[in-house]
Amino acid sequence: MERRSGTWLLLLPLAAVLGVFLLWPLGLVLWESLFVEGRFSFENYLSLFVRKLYRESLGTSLILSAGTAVLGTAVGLPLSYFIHKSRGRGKSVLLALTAVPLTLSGLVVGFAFIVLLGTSGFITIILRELIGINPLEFSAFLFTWRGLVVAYLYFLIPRMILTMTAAWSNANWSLVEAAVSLGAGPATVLRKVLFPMLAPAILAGSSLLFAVSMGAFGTAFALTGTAVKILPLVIYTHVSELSADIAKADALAIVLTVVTTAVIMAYEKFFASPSKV
Amino acid sequence: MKKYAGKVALALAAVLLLAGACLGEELYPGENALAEAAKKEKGINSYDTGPTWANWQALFDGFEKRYGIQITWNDLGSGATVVRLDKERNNPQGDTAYYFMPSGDAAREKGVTEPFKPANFDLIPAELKDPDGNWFCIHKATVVFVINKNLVKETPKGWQELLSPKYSKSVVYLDPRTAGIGYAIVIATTYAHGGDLDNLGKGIDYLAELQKSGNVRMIEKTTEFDKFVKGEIPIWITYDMNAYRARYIAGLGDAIDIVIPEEGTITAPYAISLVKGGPNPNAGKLWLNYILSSEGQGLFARGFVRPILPGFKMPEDVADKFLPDSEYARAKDVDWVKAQQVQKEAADLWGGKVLGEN
Repeated sequence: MERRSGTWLLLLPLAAVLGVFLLWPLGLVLWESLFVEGRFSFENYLSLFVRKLYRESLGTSLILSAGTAVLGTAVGLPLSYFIHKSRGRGKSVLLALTAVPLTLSGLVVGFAFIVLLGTSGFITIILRELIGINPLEFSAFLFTWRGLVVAYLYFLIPRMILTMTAAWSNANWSLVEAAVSLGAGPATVLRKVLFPMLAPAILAGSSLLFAVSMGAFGTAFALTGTAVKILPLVIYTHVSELSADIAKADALAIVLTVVTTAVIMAYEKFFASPSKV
Repeated sequence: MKKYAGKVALALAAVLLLAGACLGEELYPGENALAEAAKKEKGINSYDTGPTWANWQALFDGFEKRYGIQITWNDLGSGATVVRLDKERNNPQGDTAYYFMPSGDAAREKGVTEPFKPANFDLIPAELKDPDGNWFCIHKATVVFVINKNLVKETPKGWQELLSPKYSKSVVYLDPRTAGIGYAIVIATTYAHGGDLDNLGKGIDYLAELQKSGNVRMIEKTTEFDKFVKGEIPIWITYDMNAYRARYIAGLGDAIDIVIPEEGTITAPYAISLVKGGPNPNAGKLWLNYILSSEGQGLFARGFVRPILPGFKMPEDVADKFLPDSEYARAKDVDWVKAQQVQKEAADLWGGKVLGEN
């Protein structure tokens, strides 16, 4: 009994960190969101259903994040297998390169894309010289949701690759060999052996991509300004407006947190159950 | 004892005078005494004075050279500055706060400013200062077009021409809800179309039409100066000071055109305040005095930022680089205290009509 309470003590540092840096600020944000001009009220939350802007931005955020998570998973999976299969120096170079995008802040990523694909961007100028595109029309896509998809994939795909390379090396390949020796075709091996084995990692990876996308701010801030209405940018507008509305920004932040967490939990529950069978 | 008091005072005065002589001539009476008090404090936290905006870097350098006091700055944006002061009201961190003038009056309403009348306060025109000194204007800027001639063949002359299809995906300006300049553009388009502060709809209708024409490349939140210099922005609606800075300091020269729209525009004043209960009050006052001194105002002028003091003699080599006064005659002045009161309404209207957010 005493021993058990001793192990419990080891959790204290983690609990303290989570408490100070997650629960306490979240609690403050929640508390502030419940007041309108000093009165207790749910008005900040009710307005989320009334104003088109809030519904739209939540919808755009969800679609953008789900879309980029699916794309990032689809591209990241084969790449991670390729890196896993490569050997020697090539592998370590590839892994190191994969980590680079993760070290850059979102703003830097946004500006990197402007330097490459903007009106006076490197690639834009080359294309203008080669095939005579109009730089203004060509680069305009970068400042819309299309630009966001491209830029988000830049930092999402490496996350998928890193999650998956660990999974590939932990995979039990003797099971695959056993299945093949028992006469299973490639499709059956994929469906019955490989997928169930890797499902937890794919699941973890893709929900990570979704969460990162939902919360990403810097890249969108640098690229699209106000043009694309996603929740993080709408929250920013509310905080920095000349007539700022902090309580509403708080409410939106709570919605962003709750929706992201709920979607991830539902997703994991939905997909996690069959893999247990 | 008493008979020495006079002599002691005399000796003290002599010492102070000597100290004053060592520091050089005072910019205004009482400067040296204030500087002494300021040096005992821990530097200055100057809110929202980003170094590339309004030649602030030159003022930082001049101030630090004169007094040896370090300035810490941030670059929040006018609206966010007022929010920050309000959030920190129980434990203020800033000493001075700089903003688009209407935000200065908003800060006064929130009670986060300290009344202070700096050097030359009396010279500032009455409509450009709070009578008690809660805020006062220090420079002004006029809304103009800046054209990157590498990207735009024909320079537009005015607002109406911007609607032409030849400027497809070309126009960039800042969000009126987050930046003072954005709101200044709403007011400029309003006055250019015969409206006024009671009828901002005219300007917003125009901006909605511009949006619908497909000529708006993007509505920026920040960093537009660097993007313009890098060649990302064909037509930039911004302040004259940014335009001159791009031409003379960033060195773009004749590669850009600066246009005061033919239908008219407005001139916007920028204000500063002493923060109530700030950590370094004497240093804050010294900084505000310096900004309004002939030296501080001159440093604005050197960076093509128009000083607030009426009749301020511009350095000659700078004066001929400005557009002629006949061009500036089309720039109107506005009742900015009233502009503050209709701002929220204008921001909502802009969001609704231009971006379709409601």
